[in-house]
Amino acid sequence: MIDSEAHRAPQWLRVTGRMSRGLVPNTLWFWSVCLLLGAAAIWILQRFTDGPAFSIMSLLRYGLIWYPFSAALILVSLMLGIHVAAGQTRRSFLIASLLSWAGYAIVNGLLLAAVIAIEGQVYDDYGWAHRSTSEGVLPGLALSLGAYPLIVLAGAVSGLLVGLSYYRFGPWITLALPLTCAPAVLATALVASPVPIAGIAVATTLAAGVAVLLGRRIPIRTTNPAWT
Amino acid sequence: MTTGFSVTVRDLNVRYGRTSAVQDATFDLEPGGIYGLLGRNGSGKTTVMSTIASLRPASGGEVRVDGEDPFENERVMAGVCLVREAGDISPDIKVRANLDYFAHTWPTWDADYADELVDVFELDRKKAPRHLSRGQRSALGAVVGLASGAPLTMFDEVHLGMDAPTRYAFYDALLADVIDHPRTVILSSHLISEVEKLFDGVVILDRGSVLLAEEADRLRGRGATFTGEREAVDALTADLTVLATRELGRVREATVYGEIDAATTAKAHAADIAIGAVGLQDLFVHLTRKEST
Repeated sequence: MIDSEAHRAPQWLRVTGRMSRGLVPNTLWFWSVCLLLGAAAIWILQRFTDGPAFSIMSLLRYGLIWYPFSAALILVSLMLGIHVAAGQTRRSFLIASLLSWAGYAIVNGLLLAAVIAIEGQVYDDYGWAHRSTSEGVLPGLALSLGAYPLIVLAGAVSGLLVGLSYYRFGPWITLALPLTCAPAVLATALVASPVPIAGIAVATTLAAGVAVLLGRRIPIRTTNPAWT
Repeated sequence: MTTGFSVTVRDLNVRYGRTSAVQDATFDLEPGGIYGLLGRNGSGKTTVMSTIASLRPASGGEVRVDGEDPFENERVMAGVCLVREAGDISPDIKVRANLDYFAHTWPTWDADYADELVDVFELDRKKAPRHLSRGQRSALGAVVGLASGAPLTMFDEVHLGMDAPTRYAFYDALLADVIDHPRTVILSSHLISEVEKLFDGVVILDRGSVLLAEEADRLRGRGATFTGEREAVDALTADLTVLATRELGRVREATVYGEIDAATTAKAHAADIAIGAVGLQDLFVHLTRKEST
């Protein structure tokens, strides 16, 4: 059967839809596991200690930077060749990757801000100090709503760039990791100490630009890395 | 009704770093029909097909598919399917899920036909390709290529690992499908004697260059064997392009390349020399051997 109806939409839009739908189960699993474990940790600390010394849920920031990083990297390695060999353009892969990770970042960043805010309310009710492990002060809700989606996106875009650079240049590009990982590293630094959000935004935008430049004419390998 | 995409290759050069894989390749394929892309290992077949399929950019020259540059051309790429030996399928998701993915990528995908072919090749829909045998993975590639319905479908050594019944099932399915849904098919295979009867045209590559590109029937007519007394055969073939000779006692068989005119035929009959046809595989072996020595 010819699926012509579905193919009327632009290719980048169809691929974005498929990629975004693929990220939904990951999001559900991530939050199911993290909320369960986080709530259990708070309950145990409340029961057996004087209460948590810091925000448990704020630790999720690390996961929401480095999980999208690794997932975006793996997506390039496993799917880029299959995508192009299936008669689709590199352009649609790159646009869809950036858009679907942006959607993922917005949803998960806002969820993270909401969860940390709710946790803060719980801490207040128990009279515990709601603070981060290191700098001591968590950003307010207004700042969180902008910063958390940005750090998630920084991780994903960084992973996309690292994946594309390894796909294109092979192991030698390890030398460029300090540059290709910069957005994710800066986002992680923001968690530990105040880094200007604008700096992360600039690094993420630059990384996205380099990823597009690198990927738009990237040769597809003769061997499919997914089989190795 | 689609008749397939035409392919025009002009002075194509493809390099991998400092290594030149294809040099100044030039050939044309008319829309519709089955074409053989033949060559020894490392002759550049996969590189040429990968360039036509937009998997890699050309280093120089020009490729046109259906009249347009295929590279990052959304319309053309959606009409080109290259089934590679590498296996452009997800190894860890089930056969069924792989086929569902392709249903969303090619606008011409025929899901019912894919389902039918999975049964013909006796593939387990619930298995991941990684757990299929080499031959079954090749058969899955054949399913993808056939069901894609792409106006330009290319099979690169798709027979690898297939047993004889599976290979013949593939040839039958390919022929039937091309008759029912005319399109352009390029088939690369080392089993030339098995597939030569399918070919409407042949392109032979040797060390990255096009050795010849001709209609299959015309190419077959370009070769002949002359068998008879050694001296008589030598005299007859003195002015012809002799690709190879074999001897048994005083009997010599000379394989020649080129048009055999009526005068030569008459001379052969007069000298009691038998004229035989040369299979495409023999011609290929002789032509590429000559070029490599």
